[in-house]
Amino acid sequence: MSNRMYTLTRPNMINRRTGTDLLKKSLLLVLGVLIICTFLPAVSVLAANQLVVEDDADILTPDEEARLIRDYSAITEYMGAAFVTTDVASAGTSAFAEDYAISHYGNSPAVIFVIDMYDRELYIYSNGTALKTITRADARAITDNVYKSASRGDYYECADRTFSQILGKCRGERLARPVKHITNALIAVLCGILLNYYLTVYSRIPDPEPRTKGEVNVSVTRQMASMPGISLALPIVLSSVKHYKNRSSGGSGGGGGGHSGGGGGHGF
Amino acid sequence: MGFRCANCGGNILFDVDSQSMKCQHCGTMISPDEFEVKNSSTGENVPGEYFSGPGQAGESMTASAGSAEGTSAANYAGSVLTLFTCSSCGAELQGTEDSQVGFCPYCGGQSLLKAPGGSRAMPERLIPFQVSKDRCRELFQNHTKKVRYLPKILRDASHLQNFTGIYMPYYEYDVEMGASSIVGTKVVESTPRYDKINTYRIDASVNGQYCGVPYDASQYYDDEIAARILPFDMKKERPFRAAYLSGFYADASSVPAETYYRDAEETASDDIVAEVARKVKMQDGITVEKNSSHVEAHTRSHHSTMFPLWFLTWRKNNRVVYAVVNGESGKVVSDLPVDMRSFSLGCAAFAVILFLILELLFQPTPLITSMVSLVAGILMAASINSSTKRIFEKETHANDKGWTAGKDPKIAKEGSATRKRYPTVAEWLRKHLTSFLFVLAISISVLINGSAVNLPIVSVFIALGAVLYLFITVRKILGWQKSMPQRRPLAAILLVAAAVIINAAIVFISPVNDAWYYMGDAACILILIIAAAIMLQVYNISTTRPLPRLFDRKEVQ
Ligand SMILES: [Zn+2]
Ligand SMILES: [Zn+2]
Repeated sequence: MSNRMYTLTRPNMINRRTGTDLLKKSLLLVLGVLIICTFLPAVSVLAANQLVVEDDADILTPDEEARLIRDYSAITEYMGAAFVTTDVASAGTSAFAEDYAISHYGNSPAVIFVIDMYDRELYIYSNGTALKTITRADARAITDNVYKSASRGDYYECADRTFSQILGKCRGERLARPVKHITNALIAVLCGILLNYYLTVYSRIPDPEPRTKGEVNVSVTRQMASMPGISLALPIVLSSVKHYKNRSSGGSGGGGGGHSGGGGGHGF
Repeated sequence: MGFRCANCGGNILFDVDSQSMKCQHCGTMISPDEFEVKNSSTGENVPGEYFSGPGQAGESMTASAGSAEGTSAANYAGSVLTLFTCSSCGAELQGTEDSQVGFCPYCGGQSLLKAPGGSRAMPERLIPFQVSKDRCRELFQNHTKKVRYLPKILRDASHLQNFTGIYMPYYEYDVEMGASSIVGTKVVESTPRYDKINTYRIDASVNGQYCGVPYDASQYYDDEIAARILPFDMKKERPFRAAYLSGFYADASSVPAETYYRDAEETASDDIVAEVARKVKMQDGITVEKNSSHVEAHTRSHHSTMFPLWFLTWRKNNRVVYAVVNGESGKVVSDLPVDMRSFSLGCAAFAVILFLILELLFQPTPLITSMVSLVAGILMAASINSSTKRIFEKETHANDKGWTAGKDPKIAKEGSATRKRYPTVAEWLRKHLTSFLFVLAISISVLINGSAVNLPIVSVFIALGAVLYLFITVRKILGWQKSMPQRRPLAAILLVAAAVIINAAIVFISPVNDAWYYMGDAACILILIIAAAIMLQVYNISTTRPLPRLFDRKEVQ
């Protein structure tokens, strides 16, 4: 016999690189968009206004007031901002703050921090879109953080820490907003891949290995195998046990052997 | 050599539609039995009817019966069959001269060399091809019609021309059944307070033999495919004739028959228990406890046979993808890798839709984002884990008892009872789907009902669980990695682990500044996306098989 070789040409194979390349490209694209979006907000707006300080209760030195204005005017990039102290009787600190905001800012977003020396109360009021940045919960949290300085009499520290937290919140929000879109986009991409992946994998579940086709005839039970005949005697009871649904209701009744026994405990 | 027409001397091949030998030239038809008797008796002093026909199949012949018929049939087969070896994987196949149009079914190799040497052991029986090549292609196309992201080549009509017909050796075992011990339970009384449950002993007397439990006899034919491609119809079995092989290939048995004795016994026992369970459920409403029920079984004898299979083997990135069509019933079993390109497009579509929904309805908070990526991390780790397990098994042939038994006959003798079968990714998913849903339900209900206070606590628990699970998974994969050439599973799981650890750290530290929180989350999700891309590649590796190298092939009588 001769050693002949039969060589056959195969249809051209799928280029194995294209798929992975496409995947890489889309990943790079996502990465690019992420980077662009992250640095976009860094081009920030110039400070348009100053922090308003109205120290009617006269609890800060002029130097402290100047420092507050210097450090926290940046808040006005996001919203109007005022620090007001008062030592006269009013309808309450919150009402006072609200009145102040309406008379000075109207509908434009603003945050007002009030130290009411008459009622001995701190209050942060924000309105309009400013309320989305400094929520009521935020205001409560910030005043909770700083009230100790006020009760010590260190009003500058109190104001300083309050505005620093407000500024941090503003900046975080500004940065978080585009990040939220990116986060949504990333979640969408990840969940898209996973959803597609699991649907694909799930749809490819192979049929299980053929086993018994029990419903059919005895003789064709195991695919092509022929099965012996089976004859059944009457079932014999080995044991009879009561399973209580209520765990506190005590032990199980019944016993082994013979026919099904009765009995059993009560609940409660 | 091959088979020649007595009429015109033309090529004569087995014709599936007419189930007879048909001359390609003049169209003369002759039954394989008749054909073989005519041809073999001319050369040798063999009596005409040495097989009494298919009716004889009922009586079981014990293996390697050196009967006169067997020897002469083998001699005749030896004189008309040619041995081929695949030059790329070393597989040995028998065929007639006309079989050359095809590919090595094991590796998809393009060249089969005629090898010197006699024929291999021939089986006692065989089921002739009932499904023609055209019909086989049609069946495969129907089977894969709805499969999404199927590699384009598997839809390519000219590629499907490469389906190669091959007779695979199987053993059929006859099992003697003995005493049964079957236990069942039934709720006999149900009140709001208690259920009374009786346990029964069910006496089933089993008479006779359990015949024809099939197991594949070729060492290199994957046990998993061999089992999944079943059933074949026993009634179509005929006494072996070399003439049936014309136009096809045949592999010889290379696994000792004892290999599957225990498996056959277990299968028989399980089936009888299942049958009893069905009857008892119907008659008395008793549910049989399958795990504590058993029927004694003893394998008495076996015989060798050959089943017809259409093989389409596609080589992809140094791995092989098998598509197999049952040549008798037309059942299709196929490896289904995912086409990366169309899958990526599908993902993009899903992502766009999800993004629009999220933008409309969802304000991501840092915590929820963290939890999304933690849960995603757990799910992905689970998938990578089970894919890697599959790869490991395929690399080491952990599930392929025939493979190990063919290499080391000792293992065959011991015949460990159960062939361990690990679930596939999908099976695993299906099994654990409930627990995923459970976790999801808890998370969702917490997200909806829970106040802001307990959400962080839940996230801390999820983070802890995720870190723990990742730790276990990474260790497992590191273990498998030692006997696997692939590095992708490790890369994927380490990326997921990194994302989970970063995420857990964020959850624990809980930075005051939301921006940092979001950035950390975003970074984690980005890592997870990259890991997901690798996870798909890992899945693809798990759906394909290592290229076989069969040069050290040995024969077993
Ligand atoms: Zn002819
Ligand atoms: Zn090969």
